[in-house]
Amino acid sequence: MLTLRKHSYLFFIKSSFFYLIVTFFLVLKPVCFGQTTINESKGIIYFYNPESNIDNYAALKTKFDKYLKKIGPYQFQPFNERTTFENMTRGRHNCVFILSSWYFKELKNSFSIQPILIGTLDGNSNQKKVLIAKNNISSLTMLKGCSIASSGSKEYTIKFLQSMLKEKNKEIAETLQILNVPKDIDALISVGFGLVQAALTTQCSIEMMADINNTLYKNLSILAMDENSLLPVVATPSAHDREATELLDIITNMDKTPDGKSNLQMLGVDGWKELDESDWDLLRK
Amino acid sequence: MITMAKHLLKKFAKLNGKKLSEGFFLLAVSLLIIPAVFLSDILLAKENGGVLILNSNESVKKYSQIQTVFKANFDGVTAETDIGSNWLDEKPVEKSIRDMNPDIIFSIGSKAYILASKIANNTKIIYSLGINWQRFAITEKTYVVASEVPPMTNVMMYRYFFPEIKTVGILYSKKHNKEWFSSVVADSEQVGIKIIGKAITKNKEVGNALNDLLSTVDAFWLISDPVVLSGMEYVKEIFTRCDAMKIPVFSYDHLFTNFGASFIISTDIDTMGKQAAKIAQYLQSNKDPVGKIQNPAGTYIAINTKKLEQYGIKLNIKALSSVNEFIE
Repeated sequence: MLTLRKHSYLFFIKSSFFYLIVTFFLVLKPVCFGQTTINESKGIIYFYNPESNIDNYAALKTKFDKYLKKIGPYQFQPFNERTTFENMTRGRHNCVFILSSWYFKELKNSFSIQPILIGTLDGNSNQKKVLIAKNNISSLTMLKGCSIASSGSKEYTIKFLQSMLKEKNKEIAETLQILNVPKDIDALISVGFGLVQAALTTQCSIEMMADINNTLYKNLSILAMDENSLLPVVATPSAHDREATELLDIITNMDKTPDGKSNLQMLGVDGWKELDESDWDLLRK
Repeated sequence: MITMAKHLLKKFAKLNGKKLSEGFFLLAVSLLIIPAVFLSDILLAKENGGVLILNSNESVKKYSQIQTVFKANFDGVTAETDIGSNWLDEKPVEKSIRDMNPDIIFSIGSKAYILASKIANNTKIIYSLGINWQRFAITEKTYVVASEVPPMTNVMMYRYFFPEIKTVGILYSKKHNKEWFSSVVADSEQVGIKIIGKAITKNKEVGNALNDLLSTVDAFWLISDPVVLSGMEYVKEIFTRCDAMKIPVFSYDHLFTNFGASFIISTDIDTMGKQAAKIAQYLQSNKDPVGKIQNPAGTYIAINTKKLEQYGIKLNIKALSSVNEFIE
């Protein structure tokens, strides 16, 4: 049998106060602590670059969020894992992607995205990728089973080497032991110190090495080169919202302020340009 | 096993007359089981092998971090032991390792290495995250991933980030860093940086040495020297004096962030874990890894751009993509 407990008058007063306080907080929360509710991010820049193990995600997010906050309710979200990136961003319309060009090519058939801008460094949108080793390794065949340092992800390094090394040398890529290092300069130093036999890096990094330590540079030789890589791509979802257009505008103008420029340098570029026919050709390959 | 035997004997003692026959049966079974278990233990110890991770103290962040990375990059780990939680008595740990008789021990931190080398007969040891690994006996079966960023890497990074810095000052004690200092001078010449050093014998000399040194250098490199860093007052004095003269302090540990270090280069723990995993892979397939003593292949860079700006130090903006952390 159902019995009802009689509540005292004091109980009703207490519970009324309780509900009043809860309602008060529910109503005021979006106003007082509104960063997350009213000012919820309108648009997001998603960043993923397996070509370069940019492991400074926390630093990147802090710097970009700080920059974007001055302009509007936008956010920057970097990823270091492919599956997470794809699961989290699929089907979004209020965003802009900054992606490595290699990854863009991998993604373009499964994601409905459109390339808009290409990164530039010293006015160049191309980057030469090189496989270097110490001078005592004179041919690719000598690299079989050796260790190679790369600042790119393991998946990227293997796939890229397979495409870079032609015909009979293709199988060498599968025999290589890949040591993933945080940055290009670490990869170069690792070869220089003999921690690994080779490194996958860029022509730019080698030129930097020639400048800072010519003796070490002279001990290195290029075993293979790929001239067809592009710097990161800015892309939008094929069907995108107004927020994406606004973000695109912000990204385009980043190189016009010192803060924006230094943020771009963290991504390894110093500006953007619209895609020309040769860029399109490289992205279609 | 002893617990198991005790348990069986207790059960036997509790039996009354009616169940005496059952009791005898239980005793007979236990007499058969106990030696069999002992025997299997001995046999297993001989056949066990495998790869053991021996951690000095898992509650230390970098120790647990390297363990996680090692496991993610090497799938042959058969056992993990944390000495930290057994600090009162290492004997049971020692015994269990002896029983396991691993082929490879990945020892994290000095405590783990000391224990591993005490037990190891034919076991190969990979040693990482020990402060100054040179203090310990390194045998033929030991492989080291050093924790210290090599001086050459340091000076190359200085050159890369700060192309206009030409002279760097170092305060050191001859007793601890005389040879190290000579090698740094040679390495730095190779990258176009001049190292100016000032040797001290007692910590009380820090102040006077700084007087001589700071007026001649563009930056100060704070190294791990037990005489120079023998007390908090000396550390504070170094940072205060450098700050007053707008000289950036380059250092090797995050510890100095709050004191006002402008640039810190330390070892990247994840890369160390990957290096150790590579060594384990080589050893497991009976191949020799590249070098018995490996320098760390990855660096972690923290920079205080605000301070550098204050001091008027020009930063190579292209190097920003190599920064891991901005000190705010």
